[in-house]
Amino acid sequence: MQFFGDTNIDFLSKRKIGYIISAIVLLVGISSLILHGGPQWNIDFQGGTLVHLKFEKNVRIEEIRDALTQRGFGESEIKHFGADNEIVIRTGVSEDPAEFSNLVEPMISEAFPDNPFEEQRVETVGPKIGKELVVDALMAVLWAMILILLYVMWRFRINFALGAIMALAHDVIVTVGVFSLLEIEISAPIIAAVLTIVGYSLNDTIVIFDRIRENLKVRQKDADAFIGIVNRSLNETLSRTIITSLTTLFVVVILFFFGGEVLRSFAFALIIGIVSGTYSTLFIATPFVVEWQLKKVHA
Amino acid sequence: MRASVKVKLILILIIIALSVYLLYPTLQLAEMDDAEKATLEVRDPQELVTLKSRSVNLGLDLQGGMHVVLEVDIKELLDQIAKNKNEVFNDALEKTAVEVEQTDEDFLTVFERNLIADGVRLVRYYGSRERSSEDEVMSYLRDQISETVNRALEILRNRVDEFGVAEPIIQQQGQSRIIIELAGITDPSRVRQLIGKTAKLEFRLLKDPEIYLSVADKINQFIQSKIAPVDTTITEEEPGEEADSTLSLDELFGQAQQDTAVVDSVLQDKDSLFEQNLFFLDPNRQQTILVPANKEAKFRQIIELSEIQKIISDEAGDAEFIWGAKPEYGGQYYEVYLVFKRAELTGETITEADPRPGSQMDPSSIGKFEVSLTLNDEGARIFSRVTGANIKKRLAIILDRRVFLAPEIQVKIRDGRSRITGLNNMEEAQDLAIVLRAGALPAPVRIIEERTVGPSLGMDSILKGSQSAIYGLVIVAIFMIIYYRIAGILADLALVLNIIFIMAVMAYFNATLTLPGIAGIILTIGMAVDANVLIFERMREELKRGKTIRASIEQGYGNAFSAILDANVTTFIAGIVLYTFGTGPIRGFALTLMIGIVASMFTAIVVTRVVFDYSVSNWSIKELKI
Repeated sequence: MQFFGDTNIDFLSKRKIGYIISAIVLLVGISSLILHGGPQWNIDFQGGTLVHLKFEKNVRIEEIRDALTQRGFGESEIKHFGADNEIVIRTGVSEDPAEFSNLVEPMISEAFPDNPFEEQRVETVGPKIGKELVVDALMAVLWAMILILLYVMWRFRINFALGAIMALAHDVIVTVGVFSLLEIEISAPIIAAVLTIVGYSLNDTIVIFDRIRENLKVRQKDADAFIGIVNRSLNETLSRTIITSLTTLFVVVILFFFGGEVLRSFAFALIIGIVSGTYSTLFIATPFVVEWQLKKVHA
Repeated sequence: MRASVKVKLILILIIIALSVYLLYPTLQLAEMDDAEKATLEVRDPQELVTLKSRSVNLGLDLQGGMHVVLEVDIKELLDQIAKNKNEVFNDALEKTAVEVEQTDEDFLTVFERNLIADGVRLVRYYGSRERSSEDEVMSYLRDQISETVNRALEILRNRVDEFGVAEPIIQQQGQSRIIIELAGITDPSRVRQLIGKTAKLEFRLLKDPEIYLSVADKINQFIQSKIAPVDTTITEEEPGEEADSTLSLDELFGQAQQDTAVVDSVLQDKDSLFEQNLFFLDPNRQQTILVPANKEAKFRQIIELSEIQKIISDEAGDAEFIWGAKPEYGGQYYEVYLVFKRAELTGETITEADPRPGSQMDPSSIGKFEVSLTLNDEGARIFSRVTGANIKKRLAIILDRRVFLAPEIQVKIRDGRSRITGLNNMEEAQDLAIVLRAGALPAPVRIIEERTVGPSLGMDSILKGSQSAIYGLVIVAIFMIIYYRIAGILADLALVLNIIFIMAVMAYFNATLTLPGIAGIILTIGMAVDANVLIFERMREELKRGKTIRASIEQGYGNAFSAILDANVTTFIAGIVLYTFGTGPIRGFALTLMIGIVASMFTAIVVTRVVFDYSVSNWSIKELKI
């Protein structure tokens, strides 16, 4: 079976459309980030306490809030988590980070004597740890980019490396932007997802670069021929691009639906990243290489 | 059939066999339920340990448990061991505490810098005959810190051991942090209490009743003086009211339980710290101050004020307020005691601490629980002397700066026995006994990070994770077969081997599988076929160009190799970076991702190739349908 026979799509002539689409998506993402005052970090980065309780019977958020207000924790963020009998309570940082987790159990059991519950998850992150995590996360993304840039420069050329990094930055901003737009919080696992996206997007980009590199060895290098070669390379690898994206997307979508509430936003980040990564290979990384080459020829 | 193919085939079979061998302990453990494990532990504990050390561990997020990071309070330690403290010292210490929250720098370095900025050197507070230079003091302090952390580690280990948790992990991280990992905890709040308690036990005498009176009087005057100006502005209609709003002590005593004692027509600023009826002297018991439970926070702030501190030192000398452990009178009032700063005796002399139900003889302790303490000879001697010299006075038993009991000394106690009463349940008494036996931490610790997962959520995660993995595997497998037919089956074989290899490598390294780790494996399932997709697409191209099957296979693998290598190396780089900068679960994810990359390259490039070569040379295939 084959989805695509010998395709001959002129991707590069449509690159301007790609630029416009990307510009719009990035603009929306960045505006959302600015309007929200940066990404919405969860307690991993901000510090604070998260308590996830599973009750025997359904509870209403207002009831929980009432119980907490009596003890001065009325400001906490309270949400249902997956089901109506599961609640996640989040508070900000206090001087003693463990204070809330110690108080919450007696508070709630007092307020709901006939609805027993179990502590599913307690996460407490002191403000200093949070800061360390932010620094570590930024360092991780930065180092990943630098090392990958160096590797691609070594294996290919500088314009390929820059094109790959452009695509990476595009995918990371799109993912973070969508998270901001949908007001989903960024936790430590999401950073892992973003770095996986970095890896995946590159994987995709490099396969096509590899084909361009191979085809360039054979052909002449004037400008028109260059565009032709790149187009041909994109078409030759198109089948692979689609199939790998599909199989990866399959498993990630399954993870999204069946992997449970804890992994859901992680899987969601990967879904966005895979779609964006596939797109950015075709419409960001490769066109960048071409634009660079054209400039060099015209100059 | 070429010899090299045969060698490779044998090699692959050996690797598969090895993987199955490596995975066997993991499978064995997974087959056993808790009861069987318990039986094995009794029969042959060594066997269980070996089995476990050769299996894939489940992370705390999968089996349920607590991960806690504690920080030893260096500030408190430096405060404790300093001599000749003054204003400059306290300021520098406070300033340092704020600063280190912002930076990565170590407390001592920042502290020294702050002192020097104020023109003082560490020697002034920590110097002695042996340590006269700044460097010597610095190294002395560093030793003190590391010794403190080591002792804290040891004490925490004792506490956790006594509590009874299987295979606890307790280790130092960095200079002043301690990581504690406990699997299968069902009552996290108990553990939090157990490890977070400093467990500093002190016996201190209460100040005499006359001093209570004068201090209470002065504080009351101070509070009234703060309220008075507010009165004049708000109650203008009744200008005469506030003329004498100062409460006399007689009034305080006589009407302590009634709120009518004060001018309550006055409207008060809600945010103001100062208001009427903040505290009373207990009419039933001397030397006890009562604070209404709803005014506790305000009174806590007030007694911290420097004016109040001055009143205390003027009136009572070497004394401080210490709060009662629990609200009394049906939870309505907190007790506050004025005690000597100096402890007559501390918990270091405890040899035994036993939890037990409250005595039936004493009506107040029925239904309550207590811990009885036995002191060593030296402790007993001191206790005997102190009790003998202070008969009819009250002695406070203070644990972590909270008064548990302040009985009046009736007789000289010679046998060194004492007790902490009024505990609500047996568990509380047991835990208190544990911490008292294990000893006090040399400096307070704070929980700065905690990640706890309940056992049922862990089970749920395992279930959902493996479900997703199976669904993903099935879908990808079916897709590959539909798309590439026979070659698809080959790719699927590679995929299944891939997962076996990942698990085998993890078992070999005794690595930990976390929930993000499972996600990493699932992601690998999707991405692992990529290498085969690249190869198969290449083979299709070559076949289309009319090449022979053998040549197409050769070219397909050969030409796809550079793409596979480069693509995987870059993803691997991302994995390394994640592993380096990540913590806990993220590292688990990075680990499975990296193992998965290596395994998938091996299965896609070597395993499938051998099968192709073997079939082509042995079965003289005429047509290759991909």
